[in-house]
Amino acid sequence: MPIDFKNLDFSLLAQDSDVSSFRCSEYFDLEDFIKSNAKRYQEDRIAITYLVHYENHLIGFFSLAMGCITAASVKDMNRNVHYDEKKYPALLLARKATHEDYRRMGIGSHMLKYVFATVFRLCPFVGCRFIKVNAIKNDGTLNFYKTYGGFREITESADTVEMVVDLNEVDVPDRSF
Amino acid sequence: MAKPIELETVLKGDEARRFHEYLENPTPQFTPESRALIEEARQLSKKWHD
Repeated sequence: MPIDFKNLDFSLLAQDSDVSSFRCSEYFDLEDFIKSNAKRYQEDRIAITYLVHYENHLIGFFSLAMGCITAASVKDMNRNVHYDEKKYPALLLARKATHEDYRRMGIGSHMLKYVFATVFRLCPFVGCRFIKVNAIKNDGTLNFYKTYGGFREITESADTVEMVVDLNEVDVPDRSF
Repeated sequence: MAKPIELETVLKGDEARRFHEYLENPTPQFTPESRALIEEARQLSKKWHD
């Protein structure tokens, strides 16, 4: 049954939010996060989690935090290359997951739209150069972020790929110069 | 226990060099889908503002 996106309800995670129905057995880390860790991260003001409900069912969530990208200094005398260390603030999309019964219905791109809208509200007030995501390493996930967000890969570990989108490449509103 | 959130990304060596090079010469990778999503996000953020 197709989703009527107008009826998606985005809300902040609260202490009394019931997240017990959320299922993501393919990536249990995500299910474990929302059930065991998200409230603590929110209490500690490290990551804020948004819940997505549809017809009173919890069908997705995502968590946002402030992160940082450090590019170490690089010196290569042979190629006459010298870069000083740079640090950039980034909005970190720390977790994003869709309930396993609602996959491939466009929920993920709606959540990503919400993330961009949040950064558009944030940018006029707080320095933020990138949106960063630590994506699960599989073709579907990486293609999702490339296709729907314009993300590029910057580094990877055994099971994840760090991807960013440069907000200087997006027409961020209210920048006065 | 879910993996902890890592706030900082540290790029070193070739990854750092590629990142610095990108910053010198940005090469956008937006698709029609991403442009549309970002535009919808822009409209949504304006709606929140109003």
